[in-house]
Amino acid sequence: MHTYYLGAEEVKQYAKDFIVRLEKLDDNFPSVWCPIGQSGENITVRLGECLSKGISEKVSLVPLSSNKNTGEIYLEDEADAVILKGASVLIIDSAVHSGKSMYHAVQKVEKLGASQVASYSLVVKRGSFFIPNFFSLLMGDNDRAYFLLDSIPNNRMTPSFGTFRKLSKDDAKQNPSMFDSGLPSMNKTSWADLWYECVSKLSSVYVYEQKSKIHGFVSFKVNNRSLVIDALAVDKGIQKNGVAGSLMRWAETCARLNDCCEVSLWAIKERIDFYRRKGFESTPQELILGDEEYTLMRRAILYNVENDVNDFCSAY
Amino acid sequence: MPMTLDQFIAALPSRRKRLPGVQSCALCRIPLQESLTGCRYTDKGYVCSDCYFQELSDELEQFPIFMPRVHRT
Repeated sequence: MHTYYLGAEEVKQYAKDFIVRLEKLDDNFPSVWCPIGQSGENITVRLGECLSKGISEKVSLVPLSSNKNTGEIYLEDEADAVILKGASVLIIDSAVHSGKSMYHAVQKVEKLGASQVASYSLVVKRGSFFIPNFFSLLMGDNDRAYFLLDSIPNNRMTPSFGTFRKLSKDDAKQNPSMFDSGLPSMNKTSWADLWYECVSKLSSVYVYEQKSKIHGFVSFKVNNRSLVIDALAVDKGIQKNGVAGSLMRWAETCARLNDCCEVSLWAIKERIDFYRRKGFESTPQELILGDEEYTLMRRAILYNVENDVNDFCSAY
Repeated sequence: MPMTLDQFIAALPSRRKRLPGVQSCALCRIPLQESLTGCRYTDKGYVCSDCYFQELSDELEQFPIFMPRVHRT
């Protein structure tokens, strides 16, 4: 997982190169520009700043919007459709993830009679099924790109104090051997059990500690591009501090680091609805242990990768 | 009427306010920007990552995730 930062200067350099290439198209120069949404408009401004004086006056703008849920593309002003007929068009976006929006945009303007359509995006993810004619930065599906931001967000673990770290061999000797999470069956598990899982089953266990005492942990393993969380709990004594959320967040970060498509967990039957409400979906995999029924639930962390790809991942 | 590049740039600040897709976190109301705040869909609508994990945290603390396992004696 890489994080890329493109500041104003880097974006300008890419824009200058792109515009030089565009202007060399002479008669085929796309005179109608269609930015997609706000991110497309941001890049359009940067591209416009690099255009030669005489040429910038020839450019007309027809903004497009996309419906985030359906992927449908529409003209912000339907009356603009008339100038697309027979025109050489450029579709502009800042980031292409799945490629659906840009592909739909190309189809839309072609349908409205554009004679030819080119496309540009500042950033393209490797998993995109659509490849723009011009793009600046190609990045992996788990990579992040920050561009043209006034500030760059840091990773953050809450609470802001205390220690998040890996479980170590010395923790196996901790007394008490587990905190009280309020779940009797889990309270029987010891740090020694978890350490054993680390060394024998390639589990990863991270803990939250205050004054040398462990108050929370998450245990997960990576399996076929899925990060499976098999335990996560927090000491009853320090709850409501966001520790469980941070451990979950860290697990998700590890999923990205390990090139996973999804985070999954075994949800006990009674909690399935909660996870559904939080964007997890049930899989057909179930497990019955005594009176308890568990369902494997998963949440895609790459929204540019379709579920069938996740199915493919889990099948191998 | 299609805009020229100059008209487009001049109109940008006012367009920002009415562009679809610019929405706020359903819980804390901060404007959502995918790369900056995160943007996750839940039953409450789109929420920022901080709110998402905070809600998840409260639930997980009450109901831990735990797959029964063999204990070493």
